Amino acid sequence: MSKIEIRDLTKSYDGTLNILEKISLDVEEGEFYVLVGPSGCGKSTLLRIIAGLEKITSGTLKIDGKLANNMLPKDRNLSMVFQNYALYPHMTVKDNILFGLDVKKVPKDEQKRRLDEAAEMLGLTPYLKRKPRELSGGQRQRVALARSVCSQSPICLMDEPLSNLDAKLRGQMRTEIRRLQKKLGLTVIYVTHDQVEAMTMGDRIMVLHGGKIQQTGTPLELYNKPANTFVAGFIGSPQMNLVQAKRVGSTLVLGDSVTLPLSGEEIANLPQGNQWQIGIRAEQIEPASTGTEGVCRVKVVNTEMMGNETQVLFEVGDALFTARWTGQYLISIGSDLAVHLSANDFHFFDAEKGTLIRPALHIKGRAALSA
Amino acid sequence: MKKHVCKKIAALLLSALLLVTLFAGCSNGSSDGSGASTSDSGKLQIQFWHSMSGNTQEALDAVVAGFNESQDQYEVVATNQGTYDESTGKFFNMAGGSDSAHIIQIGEQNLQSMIDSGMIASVSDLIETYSFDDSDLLEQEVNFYTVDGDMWAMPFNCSTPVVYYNKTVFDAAGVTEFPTTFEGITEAAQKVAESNDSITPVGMYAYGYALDQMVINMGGYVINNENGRADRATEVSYQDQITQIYNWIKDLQDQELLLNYGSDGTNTISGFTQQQVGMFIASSASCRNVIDSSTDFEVGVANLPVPEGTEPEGVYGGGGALCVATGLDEDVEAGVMEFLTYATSPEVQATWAVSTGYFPICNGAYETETLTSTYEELPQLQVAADQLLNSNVNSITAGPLLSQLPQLRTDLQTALEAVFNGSDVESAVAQAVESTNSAIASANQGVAE
Amino acid sequence: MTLEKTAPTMPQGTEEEVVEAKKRLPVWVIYLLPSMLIFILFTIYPFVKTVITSFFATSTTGSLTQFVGLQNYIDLFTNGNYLQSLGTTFLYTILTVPLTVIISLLLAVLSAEDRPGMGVFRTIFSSTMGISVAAGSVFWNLLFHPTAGLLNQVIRWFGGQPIGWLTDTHYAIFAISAVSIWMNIGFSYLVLMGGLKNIDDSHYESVEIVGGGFFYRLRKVTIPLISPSLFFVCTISLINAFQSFGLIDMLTSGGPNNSTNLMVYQLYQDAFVNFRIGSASAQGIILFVLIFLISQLQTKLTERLVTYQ
Repeated sequence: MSKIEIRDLTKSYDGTLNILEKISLDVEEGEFYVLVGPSGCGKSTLLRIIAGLEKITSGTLKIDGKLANNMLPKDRNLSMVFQNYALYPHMTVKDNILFGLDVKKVPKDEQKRRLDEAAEMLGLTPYLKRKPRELSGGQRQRVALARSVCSQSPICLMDEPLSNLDAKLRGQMRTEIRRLQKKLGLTVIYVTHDQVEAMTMGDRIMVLHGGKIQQTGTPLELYNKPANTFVAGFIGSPQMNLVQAKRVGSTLVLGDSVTLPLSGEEIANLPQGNQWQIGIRAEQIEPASTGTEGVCRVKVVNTEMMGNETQVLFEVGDALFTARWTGQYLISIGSDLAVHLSANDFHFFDAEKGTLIRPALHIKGRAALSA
Repeated sequence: MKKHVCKKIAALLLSALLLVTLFAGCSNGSSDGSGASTSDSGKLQIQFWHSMSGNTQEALDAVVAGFNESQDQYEVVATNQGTYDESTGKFFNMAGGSDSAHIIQIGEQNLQSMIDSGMIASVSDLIETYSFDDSDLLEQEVNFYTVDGDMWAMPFNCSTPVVYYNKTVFDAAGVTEFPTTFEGITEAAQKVAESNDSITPVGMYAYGYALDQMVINMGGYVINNENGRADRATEVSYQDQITQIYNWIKDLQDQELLLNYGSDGTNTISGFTQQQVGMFIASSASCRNVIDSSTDFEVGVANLPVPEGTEPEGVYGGGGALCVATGLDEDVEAGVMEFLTYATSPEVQATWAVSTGYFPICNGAYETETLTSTYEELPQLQVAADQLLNSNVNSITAGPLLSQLPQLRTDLQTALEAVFNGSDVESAVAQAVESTNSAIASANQGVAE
Repeated sequence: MTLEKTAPTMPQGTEEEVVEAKKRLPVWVIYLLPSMLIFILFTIYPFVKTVITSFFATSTTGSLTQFVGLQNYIDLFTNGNYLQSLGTTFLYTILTVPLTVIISLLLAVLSAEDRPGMGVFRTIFSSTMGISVAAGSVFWNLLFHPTAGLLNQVIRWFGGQPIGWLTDTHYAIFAISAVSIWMNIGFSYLVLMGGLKNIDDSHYESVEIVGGGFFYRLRKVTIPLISPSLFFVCTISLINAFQSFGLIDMLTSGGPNNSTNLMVYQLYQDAFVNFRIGSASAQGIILFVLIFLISQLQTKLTERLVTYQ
């Protein structure tokens, strides 16, 4: 029995526009489940529905096997970390952490024990007597986390908790939250718009867009086999390179401008049809020496030298492709460049609907470890 | 450095400009130094402050309009400035400023304080200067407003307190002639209570003016030193009479024949016109109003009652009078006197009387067709006038002269309210006496010699 | 001179120039002058004059006739009427201020949610702010009429004895307090509503998630978070209660039997009806000191309870 089970959940505020449409998911106990998507995709609404702060229009929600559609938030035995932490400015850190335990009738000594434990775990022991306005952003974050920890609720919902922190702190906190969750065995549903957080923290990810599920799966599943062009473009940094492709004889014309010769094997692996959208990851594009197969010539628009790698941007038709090469390559802007592309590395998507027809047959780095 | 100086000059100019616009807003329109302004039509304007409201205000406006139309030299501008006490307060505060009143209507309780302020002119002097014929004025009125040989206000709206009763209800109870004594009224009230379940026989509100008039009617001085006329009064002298009056009221209350309205006269009148109470005591000024509003029954008016065995001494001419401000320019003064002549003429007084409940202050008015025909139709209106005209003329009925008269009346009202609420008469009266006496003492201390 | 060319900064040149700059009025003083003048003219000057007048006996026109020192004050504190008005004012304040604040708070909390139809309630609750004291008094006077008033009619309909709301010494002060509370709810409600709107929803949602009820939320979250608004409303209500005048003047004229004779009404009587300006001035000063002390006391006691965000 999964911890949280949702079937065909639909949510609408006014009866005409659906904020969420036919959402189904299962979250196992102890899982770190991430809801990710751009702003307005409905992920926060879904989280709030699970918390019981919003009503369900249609569909079912089961928690621990019990129907929870109309269950009050307090009966669902969960804790929530808000985006703005929801700390009470008039209470000390200690009271903020212990907030709600008196409602649950937890005895005073037990409260103290939990407090000491949580404070120790999150490094808040020296700050217990302070008020929230005396703390930094990261410290406030930890107080909100401590509150969840103290509540000892098996389910913890987090609504973009790191979005108010700077990049470096975000990196630190990602690790801490993950570690905490593993240690305590909490079931966490985590909402974010940052795909990096999703990829690094989640056991499984659900990508939402426009209220509909785009894809559910482990991070690598989403990366290697994106279900549609949206997921393909959303997951991974830099973005996957996408362009229209047409088969002309034994070549692929990309973006109506770049011609890519195909080998016999590549042609045999082509999916049905003559026209597709293709996607290729930046790291799958190689610098080519002239003469090898699968080479096309392109014009360089920009280069970005990161020190450890070089990103080269070139036009393919209307699309701007990015190639990622380890090492430092000195390439001048505007120069001609030969790159190696293999159709086996392409993800083929339906030209109009964008759904996946054939994923890439070869993932960089995987073959090396498969043995 | 130049920039700095420029900034300073600009700042100074701006502040000066702001200040000027501010104070310009405070100043008045076109008033010349003489203290009177000219209206658009070129007439000299005379500021007349009064305290009439409702239907009495309409009647007063008619008098003023009549004067303005009858000649083209002066225009009297009548404005209601609140109650008598409020408007006299304003008058003192303005201390003769350019928009202050030239004529101000006062209540009889304000006489002493007006004289003390030194801001009003002796009407006797004006009468002499302008050869005003004062022979027709009611003796009793003149008596009240004369102090040390000078008359300080021109009588205008005269009233006395009277008893209003529901004639229809009293007749039905077998009381065809309204009693003149306390005991008689108590008996009549009992009869009304027996015959009529839905009405409380007596309605009462604490009204200081009626109370001090009743004291006088019973032959008592309200304050010492002959009602403050032989010398400035130093304490009250109404204890005996007031105690008798309050005992009578308490007795009515104990027998459940009385309903009290606190100190709200308006509520009492509405209670009467809606036949919730059978009688009440109030100023005759409301007479016309009460009669007109009592559509379902006949209204009777009677003299103030006295205890059995006492001869009614009479009442003093209360109500209001017109004071004239001192220091007026000659042309304004002439205009004022013209208006006063007009306002006290028989026909004007007669019309004024029949549309209110005030009665005329000049003898001639009583012979006019206007008045006689109305008195025939509504004899109730005549009762108050007769009560005054039949009064003895002496130092008792000259009426009280006291700057703290308003305070005296308030204290009496408070004491009566205490009695309404169950307090015993002796202690209530004692408190009133103490309060008024201390007020008189401190006021006398502050008198500018 | 060279200084002209370096205009932007304050001239710092030779010593005499610095001294001269100090002698000239700084610009900001000149800009402040008009409002300072108004303040002095309409606030400071009357205040000082009142203090001075309170030490004198006065004529009916208000001119000072005789220096009597503290006599006016001593007379007041030995005058039964005045002491009673002090007591009545305290009673009135205790009756009106807490109830006004509590009722406004409850109404605000109950109508804060954005449910359909809430707008109607919010308009109704804040509507008393638009009613002038005069209009309210006329309307309540009709309700309180001993015989024709609606309240007594309802009582009689239920078979009870009609009550002299404004004529009975036992009821008058409560009747006046009720009217006063009714009239002041509008303003307090609006201020508290404003405070409530500033509370983030997540604070309430946290309470929902841990399972706190209506009163738990009120006690632990709502009241502490609107404490600045609450403090403001309490202070203003307190000061206004001490200065109440309009209602008394319109409805009871201080009676019956001085049971609703509040301090300001007593002051008004002495100043404008009896023309005892000296005594009235003393009363004014006493009132000022009293309000000052009490609001200071209130601040000291409740300051630490107020949290500003």
